[in-house]
Amino acid sequence: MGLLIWTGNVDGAFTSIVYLPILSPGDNHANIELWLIGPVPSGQVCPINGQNRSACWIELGAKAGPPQCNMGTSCYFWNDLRPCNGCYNNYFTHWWSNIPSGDLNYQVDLRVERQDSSDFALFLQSRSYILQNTSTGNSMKPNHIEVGSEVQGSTGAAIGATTFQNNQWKPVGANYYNFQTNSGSATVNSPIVAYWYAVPVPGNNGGIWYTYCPC
Amino acid sequence: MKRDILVVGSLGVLLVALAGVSLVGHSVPSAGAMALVHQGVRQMQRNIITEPPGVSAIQVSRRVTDPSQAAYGRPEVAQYLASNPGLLRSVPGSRSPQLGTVEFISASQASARLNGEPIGRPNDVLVCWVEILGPLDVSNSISLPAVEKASPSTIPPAAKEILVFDAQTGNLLLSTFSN
Repeated sequence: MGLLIWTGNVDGAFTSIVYLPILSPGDNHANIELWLIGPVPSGQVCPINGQNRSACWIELGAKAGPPQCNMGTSCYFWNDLRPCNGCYNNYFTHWWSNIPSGDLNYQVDLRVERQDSSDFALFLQSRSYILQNTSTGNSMKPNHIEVGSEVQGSTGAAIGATTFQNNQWKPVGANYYNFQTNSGSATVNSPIVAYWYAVPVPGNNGGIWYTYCPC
Repeated sequence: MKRDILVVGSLGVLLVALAGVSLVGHSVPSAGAMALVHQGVRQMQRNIITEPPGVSAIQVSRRVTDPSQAAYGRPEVAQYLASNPGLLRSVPGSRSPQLGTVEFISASQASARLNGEPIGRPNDVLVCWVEILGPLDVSNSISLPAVEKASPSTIPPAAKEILVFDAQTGNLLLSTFSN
């Protein structure tokens, strides 16, 4: 994986994948995306198949490889793992669309933000689409943002070179976004290559995070 | 080395801008490329799609114009699964997954069965509810964030996978798991 993590209470996150790359899943899957993550609220759980996870989250972006995506076609998607009271599974994947070939190498903007006390709006804007959905009944209080690329599996995966820019966060209760002005915490595992091409500083647009997976 | 990367990046941007040619390989956008980047939380200039089409999946067998009618049935669902064996990934030592329930219900009914999760269609629109009976290996269907990788790092098999399709187009709208 080649991911950035910013920690702190927020009500939303935004990033731009400047060139949507070709995703090759190999024998598992490849993702390029944005996460908004929060702790499990007291007295509740965020489970996947009966296994309580240590966090809840909403994610959106592009992926290839899961059998729900057609072979050779990547998909736009969003997921939520929202808190519940003792449920068995609360992890859902929403399959937005096949990715049109005309979107490749063009900018894709990803945004997820609080709408009210229990709803989060998700937006994906590409060359072909502006897609919006809502994660409803979601009591998560986000305190992490992650952006970047991820591959899983043992062979054959690849993600083309791209950058994440316009990295932004929405303060709790605010109706505006701030550009990231610090580098956050990077998690980079081979075979993904990822680094700050330009670090976020006051006055730029949240830095330029470069990712590439020859894999 | 860095200069080489910058040169490659600049050429890649130039090709995209002038000829619409794919930007490929290990290139980094140069400083000049920033001018192509839309900045900030942009004003939406096109129609916002709140009912996305879904991912192409089931091949429908008939055209229907009545939204209360389905354009396919259980045989087409079975054919879809047969042509997508990845959806039937078994767990070693366990029985082979198989197609279970296929029902046509309203989006609101499907949402109610899923703890209120939105389906992406108006409440009264017909959707196709499909159950795949496992146990199923779903490890390639879940992407964990980095802050969550360690706790625990593996996902247990699913007893059942639920797929919700658009009843008219056959497109896949949602997937999840159940016990």
